[in-house]
Amino acid sequence: MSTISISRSDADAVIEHARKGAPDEVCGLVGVRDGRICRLTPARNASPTPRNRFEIDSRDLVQVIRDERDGLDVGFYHSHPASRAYPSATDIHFAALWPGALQLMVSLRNDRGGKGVPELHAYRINGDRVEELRLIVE
Amino acid sequence: MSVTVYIPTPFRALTGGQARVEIDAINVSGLLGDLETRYPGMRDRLRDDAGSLHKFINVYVNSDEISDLEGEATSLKGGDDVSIIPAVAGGDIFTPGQIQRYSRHLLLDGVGPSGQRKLMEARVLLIGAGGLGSPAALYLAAAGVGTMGIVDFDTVDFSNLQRQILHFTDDVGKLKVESAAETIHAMNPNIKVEAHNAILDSSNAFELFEKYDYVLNGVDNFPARYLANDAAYLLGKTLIDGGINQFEGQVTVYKPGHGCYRCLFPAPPPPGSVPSCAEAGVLGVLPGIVGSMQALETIKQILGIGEPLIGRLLLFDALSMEFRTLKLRRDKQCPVCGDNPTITELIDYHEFCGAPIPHELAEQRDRVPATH
Ligand SMILES: [Zn+2]
Repeated sequence: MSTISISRSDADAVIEHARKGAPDEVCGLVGVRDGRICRLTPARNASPTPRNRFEIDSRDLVQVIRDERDGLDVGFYHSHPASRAYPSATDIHFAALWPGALQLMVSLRNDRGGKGVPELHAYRINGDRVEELRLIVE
Repeated sequence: MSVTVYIPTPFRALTGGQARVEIDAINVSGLLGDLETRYPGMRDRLRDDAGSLHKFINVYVNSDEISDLEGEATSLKGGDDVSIIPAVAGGDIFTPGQIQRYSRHLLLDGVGPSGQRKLMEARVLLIGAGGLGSPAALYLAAAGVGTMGIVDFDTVDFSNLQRQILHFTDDVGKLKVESAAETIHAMNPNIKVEAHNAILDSSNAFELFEKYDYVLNGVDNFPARYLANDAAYLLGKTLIDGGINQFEGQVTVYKPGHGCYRCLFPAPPPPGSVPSCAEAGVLGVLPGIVGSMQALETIKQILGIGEPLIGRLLLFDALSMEFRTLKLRRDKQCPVCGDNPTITELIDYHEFCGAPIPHELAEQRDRVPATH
């Protein structure tokens, strides 16, 4: 299993974003260099039905270009407020637009409104193949 | 006029790894056309079969998405930056509310998320919002069956309230389909109710049945029962049938090819030989049990689990609390589903539910299949 690392503060920021947005899904971009998530850009969720859909607002999506200009690989994150942090069929469907990109997912299913345990997982999706990465929070 | 086009990582296999290409174009449409010509395969990534730009492709001129400008007609000038960026989207199967609501299904082997999805996508037609249709509709709605059509022409009467649990005292006088829709929405606002305030007859049966995956019959008269049987068979739809009479109930599932109602009763009894619906009594809870079993069989059909009541007629005696099952077989002589069918179109029988019963014929009613 390949690994990916994220700082404690970035991990917390993703979880906080998810908590603030719940029960809607939230989303954002991550920039990756040398197996490490080193930039986090929260985005607006432009989906008209955000309870179980997300779409990064096109105005926020241009961050892709900035991340790349700075030599970062482009990845994304989104939340599942009530189910496990694993790509759904819809996630896999849309991941085909960005094959192999890092997909960070946070689940609040056991978070109990911030008093429980949030879950954070990382994947790469190629076609219908979902590869989980070992996520190291440091 | 030369503009720089940013090619996103997923498309770079097409441009030989180039992240930026220079293109001369006066507007976005021309630029995309040039890209499509230059890089085989690009067109499929950008456009659908009809030639429109894919909904999930964002094109920016400098930092504005072209749908906020003038679309593909947006003009370009030298030095502009054009970027193509595929959307980033996704989503869970269920909303948090749905996950809570259906959690006992989601935990169950045999249902689970994929089964719940099937229920939510299912379309079931209920004939009648009465004694059988009421519990069936409520349980189907509670289980999350996404679309329910309800055919009924009646209004709610005080005498319905003893067993027709879709309707409450305040509903007396309302159309049954309206009262039903209100109760269903109060229980589960996610359900789409399609109200058909109509009498089911040969003029509308095909049109109504066609729109649904399954038909649940809760009618209380022979014309509708024969019509439902024939229309479901002729359209290849599975019919979940139920009936009650005083203290007895019956349930079965007619799947085309495995027998139908006419295999048992090829033609209706003569008018006058059946009790009036208004006069025939029925024990209050009984339709609740039978209609619930119909809902259960419908859900089993949708999920494709268990042993359906196909080819079996389940009889229930409320007084002795005994269930019996009779084997049903397709009758080769059946006028509808037999080898040489004589009925190939719908028949409107006379409405004889409500006709007075001559006393000398009262005995015969026990031999008549249960209705209501
Ligand atoms: Zn038959």
